[in-house]
Amino acid sequence: MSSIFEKLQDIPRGLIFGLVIIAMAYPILNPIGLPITVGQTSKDAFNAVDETEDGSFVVFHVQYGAGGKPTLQPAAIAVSHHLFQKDVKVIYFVDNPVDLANTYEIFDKLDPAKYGKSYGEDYVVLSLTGPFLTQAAIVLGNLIETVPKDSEENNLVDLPMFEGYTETEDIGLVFQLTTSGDVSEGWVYQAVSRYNIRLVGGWLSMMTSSMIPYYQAGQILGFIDGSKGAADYEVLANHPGDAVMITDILSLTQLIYLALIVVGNIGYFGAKSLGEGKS
Amino acid sequence: MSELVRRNVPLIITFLVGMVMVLEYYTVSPEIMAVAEQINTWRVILYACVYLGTINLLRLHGRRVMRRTEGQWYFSAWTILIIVAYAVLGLYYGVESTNYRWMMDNVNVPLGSTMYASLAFYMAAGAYRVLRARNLGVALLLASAFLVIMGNTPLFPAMFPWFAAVRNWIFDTFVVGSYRAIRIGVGLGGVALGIRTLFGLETGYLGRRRGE
Amino acid sequence: MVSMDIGVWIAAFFTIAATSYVFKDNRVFKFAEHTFIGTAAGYQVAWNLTQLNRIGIEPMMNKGMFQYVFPIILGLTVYTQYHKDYYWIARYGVAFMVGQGMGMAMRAKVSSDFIVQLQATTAPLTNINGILVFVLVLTGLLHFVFTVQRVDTEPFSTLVKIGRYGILIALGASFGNTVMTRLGQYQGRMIFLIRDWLALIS
Repeated sequence: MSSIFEKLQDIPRGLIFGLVIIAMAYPILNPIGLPITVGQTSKDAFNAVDETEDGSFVVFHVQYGAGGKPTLQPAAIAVSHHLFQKDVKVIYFVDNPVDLANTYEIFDKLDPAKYGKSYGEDYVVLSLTGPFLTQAAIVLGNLIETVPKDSEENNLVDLPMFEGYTETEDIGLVFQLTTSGDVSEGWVYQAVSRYNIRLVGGWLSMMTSSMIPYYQAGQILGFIDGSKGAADYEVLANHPGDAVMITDILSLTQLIYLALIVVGNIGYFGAKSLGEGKS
Repeated sequence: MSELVRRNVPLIITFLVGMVMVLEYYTVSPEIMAVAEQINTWRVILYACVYLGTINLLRLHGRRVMRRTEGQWYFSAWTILIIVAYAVLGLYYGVESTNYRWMMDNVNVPLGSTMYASLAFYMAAGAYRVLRARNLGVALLLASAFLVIMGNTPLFPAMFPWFAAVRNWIFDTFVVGSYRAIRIGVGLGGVALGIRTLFGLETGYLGRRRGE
Repeated sequence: MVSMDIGVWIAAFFTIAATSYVFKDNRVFKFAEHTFIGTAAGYQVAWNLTQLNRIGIEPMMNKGMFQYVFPIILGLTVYTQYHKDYYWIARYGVAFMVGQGMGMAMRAKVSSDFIVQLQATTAPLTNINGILVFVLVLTGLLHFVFTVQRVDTEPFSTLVKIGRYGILIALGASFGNTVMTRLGQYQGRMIFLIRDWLALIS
């Protein structure tokens, strides 16, 4: 009897990893198809985008790199679908080549021409470098003077969308998708605190805990909470994609996690009650 | 003179530049705003000139190649080759070209995503081995984790809708309350550190040499 | 049918190579790891040089913004740190960077991380959730006070305990979200392998 509890506390690592892989692969091959309940934070994010004034600029900060791509790229595509349905001008802003590649992949997946949007008139891609707060200050306050060209080497002043652009006052919303806590805080400092510009966030779920005080205080209007939030936004924007698929798969994989924790605790308490083994 | 040039002038630069940035936030003076905008542009240009990380990498791996460190030198040679290739090809094709994006998409992105994502396996093994409800504190942590994990997936709320409500309640109360306390503390600490740095009380960033 | 795109095969190889470490350290993983380090360092050089040209050098040459030579000089001074006699020249560039960074970082914290957060804590005291948040913020702050002798005396020890348990519940919730994050990230790679590489699903 005691050896069972000992064994329950000592499942080989390889077996655990194998179980996790099977739990991930199986639902991809045989989808469960559970309904998604859209969360309030995703609804608030969607509504904040929806309420953006026609004709204003939206700064869309794509900053999830390779690590956040599986989770946040579907969100970026869903948000872009939503933005391109509206009469706003979108400034995609990136600070590394991985996110530049991610941004162009968004355009490949959703085809802006389908919405009657063209590069230079309705959207543009800008690249920058430097510490994040400095980049944010430049994009919001001093863009044309500091960043003379876009990522396709066009002069910004020659692009139709920047005709009559008056920097900060024309920006109606900042939408950030990031895996960095410093960046998501930085947008609160620069966009909200400094310029009082409306801000919507999107990040990995594990960042939600540290950012939720800003949401509850009204500094962030809504946010996309990792893959669940991305799936919610895909449903709200009526463009289900990879995030909905991932959320479906999460059910089985998280069940495995819970089962492992329960098994470990059964083994621990069982061995403890018999007065032996690991503590 | 030596002390002035080596230490005091840099401290004065830190103070002046920092104060302009702080004043730009709290005032509406167009002159200060103009100076701050110039400082921001200078900062970006300065950042683009500094490649210490890459230089240190090249030094580290170069040393291993020169010394033919067993079991390692050929990996180091490969690293140096890739650094040079990505730098040169990025400048040749352009970092925004289709070719370079292909290199990013098919090499850097899968590597980066998988390296981060592999933690899923370690978390599973770690959670299984470490998360034991040994005392009240850990039991509360476990219970909270369970409820949030169950509320996050579609499966449990589909069966019992209150799972999602409980998850949201935990975030709206405990997470907001506790993390707000942390955030206020960190904010105060950040301001204190900033003031100390600007007024020359924290000088660690200047570095130090023996005898100085 | 399995993908015929060479890029997809390269991506699949690196995905499996990076995952292999989970089971055992091996040379294929080391190769993948060193490739990743090399690409990250290499692209950073190319990207920054491109931005330097676009933001610094071209405006200097074409628009007469000659003042941009100063940040370039400051940036180059940073490399003097490798010299045993002239290392102190690097402090000029570093001082500029630290001053600018500290000024940017601290100026909004008072408002965003302190005043607005305190306002948000005291505002909704009309319902049980609002009162709970208020109590947790206070007791959480008390938990981190180390400069006053208070640990063993009531009522502080009870309040500190409440704060500690509140933080533990919050950390448990954070762990739950972290589980979802990591699983979601790897599931993205699994979808790539099964759908884009092996084409087992459409």
